[in-house]
Amino acid sequence: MSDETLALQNKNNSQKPSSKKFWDFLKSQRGWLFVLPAVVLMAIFTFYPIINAFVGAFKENYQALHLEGEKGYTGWGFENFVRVLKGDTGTGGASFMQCLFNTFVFTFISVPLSTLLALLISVGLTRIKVLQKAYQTVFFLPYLTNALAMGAVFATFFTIVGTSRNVETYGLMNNFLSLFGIKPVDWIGSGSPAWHWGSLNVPWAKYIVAIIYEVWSGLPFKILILFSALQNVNKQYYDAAKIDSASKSTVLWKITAPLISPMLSYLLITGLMGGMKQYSAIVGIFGADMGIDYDMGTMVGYIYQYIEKGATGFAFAGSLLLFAVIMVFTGINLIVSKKTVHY
Amino acid sequence: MKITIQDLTKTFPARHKGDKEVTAVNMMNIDIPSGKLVGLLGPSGCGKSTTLFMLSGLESPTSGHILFDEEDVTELAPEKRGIGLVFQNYALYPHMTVEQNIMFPLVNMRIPKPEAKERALDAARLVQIEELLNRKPSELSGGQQQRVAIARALVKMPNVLLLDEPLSNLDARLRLQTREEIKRIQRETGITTVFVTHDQEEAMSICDIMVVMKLGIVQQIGEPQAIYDDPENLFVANFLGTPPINIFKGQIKNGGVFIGDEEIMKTKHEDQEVYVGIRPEGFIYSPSGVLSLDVDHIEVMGRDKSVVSISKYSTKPTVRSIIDADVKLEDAPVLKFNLKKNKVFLFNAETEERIR
Amino acid sequence: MKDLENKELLNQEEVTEVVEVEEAKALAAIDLNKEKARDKRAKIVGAILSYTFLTICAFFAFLPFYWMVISSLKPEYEYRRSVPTFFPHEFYFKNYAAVLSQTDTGSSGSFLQIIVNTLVVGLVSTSIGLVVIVITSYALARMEFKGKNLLFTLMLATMMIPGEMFTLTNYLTVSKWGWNDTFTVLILPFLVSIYYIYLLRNNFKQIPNSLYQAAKVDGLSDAGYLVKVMVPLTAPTLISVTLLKFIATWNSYIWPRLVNTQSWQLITNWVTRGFPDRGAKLYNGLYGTTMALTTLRMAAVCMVSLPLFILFIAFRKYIMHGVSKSGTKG
Ligand SMILES: Nc1ncnc2c1ncn2[C@@H]1O[C@H](COP(=O)(O)OP(=O)(O)O)[C@@H](O)[C@H]1O
Ligand SMILES: [Mg+2]
Repeated sequence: MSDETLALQNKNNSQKPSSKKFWDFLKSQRGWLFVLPAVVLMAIFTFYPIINAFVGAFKENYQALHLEGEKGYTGWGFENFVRVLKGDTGTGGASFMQCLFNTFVFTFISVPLSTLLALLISVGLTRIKVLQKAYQTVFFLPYLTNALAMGAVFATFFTIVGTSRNVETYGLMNNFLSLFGIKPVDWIGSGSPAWHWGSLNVPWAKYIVAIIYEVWSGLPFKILILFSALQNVNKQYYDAAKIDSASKSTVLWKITAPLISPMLSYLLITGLMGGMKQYSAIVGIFGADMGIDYDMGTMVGYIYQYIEKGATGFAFAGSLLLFAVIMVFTGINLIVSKKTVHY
Repeated sequence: MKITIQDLTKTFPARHKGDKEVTAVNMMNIDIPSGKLVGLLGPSGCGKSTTLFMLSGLESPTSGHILFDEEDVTELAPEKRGIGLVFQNYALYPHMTVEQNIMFPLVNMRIPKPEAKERALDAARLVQIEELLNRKPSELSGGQQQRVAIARALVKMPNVLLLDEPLSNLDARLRLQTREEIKRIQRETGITTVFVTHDQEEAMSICDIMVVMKLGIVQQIGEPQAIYDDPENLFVANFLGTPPINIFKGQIKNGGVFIGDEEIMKTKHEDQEVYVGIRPEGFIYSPSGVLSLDVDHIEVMGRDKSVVSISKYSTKPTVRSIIDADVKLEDAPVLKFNLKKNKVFLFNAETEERIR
Repeated sequence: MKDLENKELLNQEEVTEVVEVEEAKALAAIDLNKEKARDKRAKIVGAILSYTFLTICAFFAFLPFYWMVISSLKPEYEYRRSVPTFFPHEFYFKNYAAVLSQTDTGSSGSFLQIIVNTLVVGLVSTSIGLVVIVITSYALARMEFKGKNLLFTLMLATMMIPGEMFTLTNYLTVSKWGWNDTFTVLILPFLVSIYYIYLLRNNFKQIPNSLYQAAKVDGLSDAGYLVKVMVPLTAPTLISVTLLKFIATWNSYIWPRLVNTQSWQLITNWVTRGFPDRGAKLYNGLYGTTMALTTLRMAAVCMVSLPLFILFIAFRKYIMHGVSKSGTKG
């Protein structure tokens, strides 16, 4: 090889890098090509809405769709939050505090209740052999349902059909209770009993209906998770407990429950977070007005009400408040999950 | 407490369709005297754990009986048998501290807390873990976990202590140390103990009585040395001893035992095909010996040396003979040996039973 | 002398001990039999308790389904008996016919129209959505590019944000773009499911790297590896995701109601249209009255639930797999 050709080659080599480097860089970044569709869609439908919610919540008298051509709001400030929290939106309908209270009541009663019941059922399932699969299937059935549709079915259990003078049927629940000599209750109708607590309504009979539904619909997922968690518990712990003469209830509360405590706390927290977003089932049971004039309203219901009314600012403010509540649970989750993992 | 095992049998149903059922333990009969340390020895899958679990009551036998002293406990629930059990993986409750783990059986027996704490501390002292009481199992080494498991088994002062391969999860050094420890604890407490292992050296070194099992059937029961010196069959002879026994194919004819053409000793038994088992320590080097072996190589290790040789009659690839280090060997391809009579065993080639 | 005394004493003690032991044994034998019997009884009682408890719970878990089916098959007057019947005296299929012929408002769309809407939206959004999910998860799990971690962190962060926060802005966006009354508006915003991407990415990550190297040696491209190795290996998750995505379309209610007029809405909207006003307006043709008809609503409920049951029975394994996966993400 002559010196000349060598020099030429060198020259070629020294020329390549800048263009080749760029090409290599592009090639190494081709992952972006794969994620591009998702990134574009998320930019429009996920990331932008988050920013927009934070902006929109502070636009006063914001009516995004109703005032075309104009800028659609009158100024900036915290007025939306103040009016939402005070219940002074000037449009009637749901009160935020009532919705918050309702959501908390449904959730903080139904989630622990259904977790406990799911634990007992799962333990029962692990103790039987014959028909185990069949029971499991039945318990999982409510998972795959349409909340609106099943809400309507639950409503029939509690609805009194007929006029107040001429009742045709008191509904399944009242019929059942009458076996124990309990007088019929107007569970979800216009005469449903309620307490009043300051400006808050406490329609306890409706609460019971909502809670029964929430427990029922929350069970399948929890049973599925807890049952598989239970089956993953090493059988040796149970053998050891037998040798250590532990009674059945000791085994359940001192061994099984702590061993699956990470799952229990996971279910509790996700249950509470999910509970904060209740909506469809309440509409299914109590109708689009969520009871009588939103006395069974939930936080999500509150937001949709203002979306439909076109009061954009209030809807944004409501959604930020919901977000804040959920963030609190997320924080609790972080703290708790660090503490409850025993080993 | 004396333990009597009568005709104990355990059959597991087939796990998959088409499989045969498994007889894990087959017509087992053992008498375990009070206060002894008994080792259940056998290869993996021979039914040792199953036996132990039947003694503990965690498995119920298909047939047969288990007596503690004179009481038939076959049907009795585990917690009523007064036993302590140490699991192979220890099965410490991961969410409880060491102290809570040890106290757990006492709490279940409704023993008042102060007393339970006291006894837990005593048990912890016995196994020398008293400074670990506030730790969680995950914060302990394997050896420490093992001690906690023993303490938990001992704390309720059981009549019988059952250990399922308690040393198999420990490293080699710890294993040696812990087996001495178990021996000491057993002597100190005088609790009748059943110890399961697949390691013959371990069993030989700590057991008062050894039970050798194969495929669910008891092969031989006795003191370790007695079994070693006088094995009932080829399996037992083969299973015990390191390095293992040498086995040759041979014949008995005309009142002599032959390996190939060489008559290694006289016998009164009738003519038949046999296996000849010779312990490695049963060889005496002698230029006029009865058995010649093709030397492959010689390993010297201080006290003694091993002659590793090859014989076409051996059932194993090599034959190992151990002789004193100061015996001078000639430098020849073939060496001759005399044999110590008590180290040579004859087995029927078909039944593999000992010919005495 | 002393020794002898001692020995005698010892002997005496031994004798009394033996007697005591014998007595104790006799007592123990009685106790033993009792305990055995008690154990057996406890076991049987335990089994009975377990089955009883489970059966009661299963009864209540199942009751709504049973009630919905039998109520949908009763004539309204039978439903309104003061003592409810647990099996219809008369099977009244006209309820279903009445629901299916619900076309009185003209603009609400026929049953057929709505089924077509639902199937088109469901199939398109599920299939395109699946492709988007797979390629995104693959890139996040297996490829290196600048900003990947930032992107992934952003996505995880948005999982904590309630969907309701997006709904309003998205509603404004699509309205501004004039997308109301299209299928696009029902499909596009839901193509990306961050949670499923997260799930699948973890699934992909679990596939050992050695497999990727082996495939490279065998001359497979990245895309080839994705299609020929990773997708088959994660098939159970993919099937679960497909099913759950389709079911989500079937059950979607709020968004279609918000952005589209009735004839562009989906099955759940159509079937439940009569719910809020208790069915009074829509179903009055059957009896010539303006009563709210529970039996008609139950027929509608059955129709929207039935396909879910069929899916469940056909794909029970995959659905339970997918659902339980989400339980172990923590
Ligand atoms: N629960 C069971 N079901 C079916 N077969 C079993 C079961 N437990 C043990 N076996 C079988 O019984 C035999 C003995 O098992 P085991 O007692 O555990 O042996 P080891 O001596 O190794 O402890 C093995 O073949 C094993 O597969
Ligand atoms: Mg074993």
